[in-house]
Amino acid sequence: MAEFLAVANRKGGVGKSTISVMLTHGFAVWGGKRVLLLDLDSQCNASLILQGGEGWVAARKAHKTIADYFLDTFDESAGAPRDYLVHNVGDVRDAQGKRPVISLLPGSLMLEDAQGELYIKEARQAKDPDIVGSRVRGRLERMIRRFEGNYDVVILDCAPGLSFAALAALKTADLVLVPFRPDYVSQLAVDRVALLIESRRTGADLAELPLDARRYACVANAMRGTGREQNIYDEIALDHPMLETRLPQSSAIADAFDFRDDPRSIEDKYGDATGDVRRLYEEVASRLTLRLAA
Amino acid sequence: MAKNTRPLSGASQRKYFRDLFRSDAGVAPDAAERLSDICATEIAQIRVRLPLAVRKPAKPVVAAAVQTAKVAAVVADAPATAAGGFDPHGFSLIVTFRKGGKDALIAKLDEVGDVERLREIAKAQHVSLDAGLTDRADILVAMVEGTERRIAHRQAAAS
Repeated sequence: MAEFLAVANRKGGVGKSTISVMLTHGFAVWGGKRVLLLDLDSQCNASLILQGGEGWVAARKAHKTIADYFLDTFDESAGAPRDYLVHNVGDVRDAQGKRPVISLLPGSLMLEDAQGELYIKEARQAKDPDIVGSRVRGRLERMIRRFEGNYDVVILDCAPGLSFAALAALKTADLVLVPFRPDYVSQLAVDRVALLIESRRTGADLAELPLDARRYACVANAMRGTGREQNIYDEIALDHPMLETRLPQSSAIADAFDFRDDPRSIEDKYGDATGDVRRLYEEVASRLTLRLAA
Repeated sequence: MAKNTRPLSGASQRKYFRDLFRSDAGVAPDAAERLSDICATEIAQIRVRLPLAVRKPAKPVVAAAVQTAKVAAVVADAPATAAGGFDPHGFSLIVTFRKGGKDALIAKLDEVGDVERLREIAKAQHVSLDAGLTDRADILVAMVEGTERRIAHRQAAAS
């Protein structure tokens, strides 16, 4: 059965998609796992990184997107989940020169519209908005879980904000990774998403849950090594579990997300940042194992 | 002379003596402790030389004010590892307060030499400080209150 890993933060621009892709590569290449990435963000950045612009357009024309999957199979009676996936994506090879097992359910610019349609569809059955919302989220959750039999790891790249799909992903995930940038508003966003993940109403409620019992971990991204960033990191660490790995602000990381048609080794792709990506993968893999064992 | 030195008293003076004696390889650790205790008891106030990196050259008043603002802005984003220089992010007001409470923060701030450095810390860590405050004790209290307000803002934002 697959392990579900969500990468989420209500704030945009913190590195959710790039970290999702790093982990996809890490689990597939270094971990030898069968990995599926579900692109739940209508910006579709993870899809573009993994298959390039042309690949993404081809997927849209073939109706292989997350919006198509949700709309076509919402009533859970038609369509096979596998029909919506694109296989052998990514521009890396493993140590033997083979393509690692990476599949993608591509993102869609229409994902918000699709969720609106699903809400209206469900609203025909019930009138209470809370009940309708809960049912939509529950259905999406079951649709996400339908992939668990064919993969070892399913990575859920969530959109910023609070879509039904993001909420379903947070409910489904065995572990939620919360990337943040070391700045004031990111700090506030971490507080908020933590409440959501642990279904707590206030910071005081959340504080009652020990850090090592939380279902999420925060990862600092784009660190430049200033004292101010360290202080923000320390302030967040008072209230939230943190990964030891910190991703630096690095041109090697930025360059790595430019899709290339010719697959290369993961070391070639990430260049000087390979060590950071590997540490991230190893720590997340270890946390995931601990969560599932608990 | 005064621009290249700063006065120390109380906890910051005691810390200075301890660091000074500990840094001398010829002084045993327990002797360093004893000497620093004696000095702290016998000497009310000392004036120490600033490291070269943080000495301010004499300049016309207006130019100096502009320069101070520029330096503060640069220091605010300077790496924590900057050797020798004063780092206004050397410790977090919020973390210190939340871990040890008001007394711990006051004690930590009391280790900071002069008032200008306290102002630098307040500015860098976004704690409001009335420019009219001149008394060191008032500034410490204001910084603690400002830190409490920052914590309250964060808690409110997550509600």
